[in-house]
Amino acid sequence: MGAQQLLIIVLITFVVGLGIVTGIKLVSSFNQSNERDMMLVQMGVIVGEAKKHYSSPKSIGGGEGSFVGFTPSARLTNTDRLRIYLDINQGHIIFQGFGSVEGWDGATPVQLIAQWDQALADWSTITPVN
Amino acid sequence: MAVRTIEKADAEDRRQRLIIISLFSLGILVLSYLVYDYMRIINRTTLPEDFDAIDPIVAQWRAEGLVDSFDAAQAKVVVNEAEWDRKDRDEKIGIVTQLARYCAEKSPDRKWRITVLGKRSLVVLGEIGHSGLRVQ
Repeated sequence: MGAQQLLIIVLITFVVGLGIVTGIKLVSSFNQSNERDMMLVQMGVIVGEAKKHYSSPKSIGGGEGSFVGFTPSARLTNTDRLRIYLDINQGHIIFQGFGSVEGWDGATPVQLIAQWDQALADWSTITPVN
Repeated sequence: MAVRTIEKADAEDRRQRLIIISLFSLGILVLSYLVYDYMRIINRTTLPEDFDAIDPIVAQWRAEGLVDSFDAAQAKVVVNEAEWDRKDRDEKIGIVTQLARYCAEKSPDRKWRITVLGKRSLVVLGEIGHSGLRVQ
């Protein structure tokens, strides 16, 4: 076997190895991205519930123009894969969500922070922290 | 025994060289992606979900010069501006939010509150307050 053929074999082994590592990284990145999306969807569901509270009159236990007093059910904030923490204020809610797969730092779980602003009727912040 | 002409041997040699160059280029390309990916995440600061891990990390930041003082009761952090500016916006939002939640655990009203002040300028670099999350 010539030197060139030997070099081809070495290079093929090297490229296949790199390909496997890249593949693993891409799958892991897809899982992280999927979990962040799932978290945002779940936060959106909680916002939907909070908006019902916001628009309900105080006489029936609503917030009447305020999110204060809204308590999401535990099944919305704590699922098999996600844990979502909230800070509820008059006109905005801050969410901090943690997933179950490791995030970019390779040590702590995927994390997403978002803020729903009722004045904007939209998310004012959506930040993938990890 | 098969006879190889010089033309055929040259063509085979060129083909093998082309394969080597292609594999080498592909290897460099994939390796560059992996290095880029690694450089993107190296030294990334993320606070863990567990509150027990916060104090040691803040102590480490104090030793490294990022944090000058941290008062959980007052929900106030004083940071070195130069070190703080090295963090990207996502990291800062993560730090501010997790510290606010940590301070809320220690406060009776359980509201997320934190103010991040610059050590020299005393400018508010980030906060979670009545107007929500704000990071410069």
